[in-house]
Amino acid sequence: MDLSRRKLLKMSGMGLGAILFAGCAVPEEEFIIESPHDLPEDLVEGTEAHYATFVNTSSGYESVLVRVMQGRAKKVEGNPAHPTSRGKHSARAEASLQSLYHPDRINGPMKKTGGSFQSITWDEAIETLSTQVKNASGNAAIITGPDASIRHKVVNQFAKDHKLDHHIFESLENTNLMLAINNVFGQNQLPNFDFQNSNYILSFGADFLGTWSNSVFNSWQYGNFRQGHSRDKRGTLVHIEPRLSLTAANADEWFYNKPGSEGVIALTIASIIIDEGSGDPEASSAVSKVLTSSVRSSLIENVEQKTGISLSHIKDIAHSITNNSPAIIVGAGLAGAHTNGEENLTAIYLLNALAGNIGKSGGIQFNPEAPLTDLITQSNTTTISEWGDISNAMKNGQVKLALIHNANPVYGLPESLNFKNALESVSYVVSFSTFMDETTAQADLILPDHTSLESWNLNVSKPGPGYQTIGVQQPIVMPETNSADFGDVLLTITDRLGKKPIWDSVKSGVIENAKTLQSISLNENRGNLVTKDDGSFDLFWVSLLQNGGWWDIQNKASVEFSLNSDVINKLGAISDPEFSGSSQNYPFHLLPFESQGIGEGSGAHLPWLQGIPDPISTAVWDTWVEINPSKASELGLREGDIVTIESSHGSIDAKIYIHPATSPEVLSIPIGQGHKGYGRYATDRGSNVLSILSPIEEKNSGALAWGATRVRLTPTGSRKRLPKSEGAVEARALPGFPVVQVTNH
Amino acid sequence: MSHDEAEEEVMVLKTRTEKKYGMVVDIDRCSGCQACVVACQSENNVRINDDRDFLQRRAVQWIRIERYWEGEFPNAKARFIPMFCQHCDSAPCEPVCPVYATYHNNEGLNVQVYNRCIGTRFCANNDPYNVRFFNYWEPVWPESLRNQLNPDVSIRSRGIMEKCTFCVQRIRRAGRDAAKSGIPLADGDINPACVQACPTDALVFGDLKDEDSKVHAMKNDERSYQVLEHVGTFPSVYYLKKVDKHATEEGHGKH
Repeated sequence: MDLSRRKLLKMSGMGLGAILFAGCAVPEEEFIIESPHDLPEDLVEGTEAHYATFVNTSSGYESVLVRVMQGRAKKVEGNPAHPTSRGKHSARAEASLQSLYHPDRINGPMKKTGGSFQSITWDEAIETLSTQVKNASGNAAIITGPDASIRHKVVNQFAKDHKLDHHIFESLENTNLMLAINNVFGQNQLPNFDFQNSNYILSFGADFLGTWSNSVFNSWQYGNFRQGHSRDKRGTLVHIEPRLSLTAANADEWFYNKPGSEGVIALTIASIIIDEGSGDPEASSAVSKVLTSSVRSSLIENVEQKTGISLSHIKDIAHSITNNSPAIIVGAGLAGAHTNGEENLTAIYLLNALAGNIGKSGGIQFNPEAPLTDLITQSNTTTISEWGDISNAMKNGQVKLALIHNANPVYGLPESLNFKNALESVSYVVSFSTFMDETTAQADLILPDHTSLESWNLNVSKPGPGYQTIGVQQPIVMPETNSADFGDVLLTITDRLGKKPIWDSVKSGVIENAKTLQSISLNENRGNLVTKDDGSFDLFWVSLLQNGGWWDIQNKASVEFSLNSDVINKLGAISDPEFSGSSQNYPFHLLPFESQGIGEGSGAHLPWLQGIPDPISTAVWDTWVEINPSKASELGLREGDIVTIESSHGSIDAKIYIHPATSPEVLSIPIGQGHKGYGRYATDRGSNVLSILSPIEEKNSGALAWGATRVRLTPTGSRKRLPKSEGAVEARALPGFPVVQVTNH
Repeated sequence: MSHDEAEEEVMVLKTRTEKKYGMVVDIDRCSGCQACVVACQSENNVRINDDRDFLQRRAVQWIRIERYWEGEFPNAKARFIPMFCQHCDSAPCEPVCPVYATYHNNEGLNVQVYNRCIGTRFCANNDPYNVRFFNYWEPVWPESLRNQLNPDVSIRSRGIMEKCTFCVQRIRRAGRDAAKSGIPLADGDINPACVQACPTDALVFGDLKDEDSKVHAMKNDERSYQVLEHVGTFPSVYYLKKVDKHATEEGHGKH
């Protein structure tokens, strides 16, 4: 700095003046955290850049902006331009940063030699895999997680080209839900639930604010449903579920129902609506052919005994649905996790037809198919009954090669299937995991994939907001480790084996599809992006990346809806749910539930997600059993007592949490802990409740009835404190001055 | 000092300041999803809370979701409320600090100066909201996770207090950006990390003195109240009551 004597005097004069005038106050600059010096030439301020991309969380894709400074990702923020993100994001999206910079990421390709993993080069890895794929043709399998992106197309094509069976793994399958949606609406994807414009939501086990579906978009809608400025009155939410989930806790009324009785409740509500003639006339007359007056009166007569909810409450709900139009009826989670799961969910979604909300504002809006054929939005999850067959085929030596990406079946499948042993019988196992999870530990070859923030992809929101939303995932930082894109590896191998790959790389697939989007934008005047008449691609490409995607707000799906009479016919008599284990030997229903933070286990390696207090119990970093207070005192149990939970297929230990909103008939246990590997933050922590589930199937679909296992509880006699947020600080609320204040208007 | 005198003094303070940043929390919107909690930890370099931290009651959460139970099964209700530093105008934590490490700035923020703090913990003891956290140990991150740390926020060392700052680094950056570009700050330009993340829009941040601001309108809502207002802390955070049509009288749910 060129500091002349005059300048110095001037500055010191100013300083003196400031001190004199400020009197006793301390100059504020002294207190500002990390304050830059005020001299302009000393002002060192990091330059930040924000890039739009998508992150893949266990609940689906979220469109985000990532703040990048000096080539490092610092913060995830929701993408304000994206219709289902609206500038908001979940804790899971935020934690993708910890996935990127995780200390236990696999550093590069590795090969198992003599029982331990040795680093190899990518050339060697690809050569090895090419040979394996070539030799195993026809006797190979590729296992992936559910996906709705162009990478899915790469996998499909790869499986077709090299004769691999493609299995899609999801621990809590959505099979029954997708079947029910198809039964009722004739749709292959979830519709948009227009919660924000609805007046009444009836939810059967759908934890749409917590762990089910696109919770960020649902929550944004929920905020407006309660207190939106354009509303006449606050919406009412009623939730029916055997467990107090986050959505149940937010409901105006929560009802405990006997597990598996959701369908009977839904049909009883339908019967009341039909009896009173208050529903949609067309749907009522169609449904009344099956729900004849004798069926209706028998349903109404027995409902209390079958479901545990009083008839007067059910009548109130039925009246509320028709008096508060538009109303939405939604079901998922435990409602579909029984041997009658598909019927339950079909009956639940059928209520929407009676409520007459289909295609309406505040009702159910269908999502149109994506305009790109490369974007595969639909994938049928492999059911537990199919996993049984796959497991057997593996044990019989019929599977020579297994490629596994974004799936951890060794952890997520019930232990009774013994998938661990099955995988050992496979001659060669290849994992594409970024982390050393249980499945990857059994691999012979590991080709670590990039994380979300390092890869290219093109994907769709599930569910969409009622129109097409295509998101672009772009790498926002350089790869942190020596990883390679899973899609690129598959494309390279196809090329190596003498077949023509669909694209050179996933990136070129993204560009090719972007060009298609551009021509749709240009020729049909659709979408959110500026297109030049001369058709130059550069402008379109840049605005596509800046916005994080392309959405087609003007083009909603056409509503062609008529009830399928075959489906209605099946609903005449909903079968009773069956359970694994007798009520004498196994007195409790086991209700596993997805953790708010770590999901079904895929987030267990991230310390932020482990440290998120469960919204209800506030417990962290552990596995607990939620038990009714009177039941606990009857059994002499206190919080922290370690108990053994035993089903007919296995047992785990967990700590007692006394939960005022738990029925004496059930025990609820969070899913996600109990990892044998998966990095320092997940290993040997808590127990895996999925392992003790009985492999009991939904009777039509063959999907895992994960809510149908009965268990018994035995105290082990030992006790350890349960880590939780509650009670960490002393409560200071005084009588008469509650911290949470409530009003009735 | 009587309550009236205290209020008068606070009013004097209020007129002296240029801005008064504050927050309005609509607990009828809040679903308890914890998105704010992680967004805050990411933005502010809050150290990793492992199970031992929780067991020792030393977990650092500048913002936390408190859950209150009402009733018993089958009529049990869980209610949520986000709790963080209330940036009180008459903050009980401020006068007890022997080294002026915590003070009120002229924008209404209750500021913690880390390099002044000597760790007496008087402030935490005097804080009725329990939103101040002491660093019992030096925070440790594995080397690779340090890549994520926000360069705008200092890492707090062992032996000092820390707490919610309303993301003062964002307020400063927005101010500098506004000065550079010449475009004055508008309501909604500054959002702390929790507000930005909140999926239900339950949290709203702004200048309470700006009569056109969203927070100004919201704080005058008929549902508005302040937590522990009878203590006389004059918080800068307002809450909007939870609506429960089954509640029979103000302030108490009945089941």
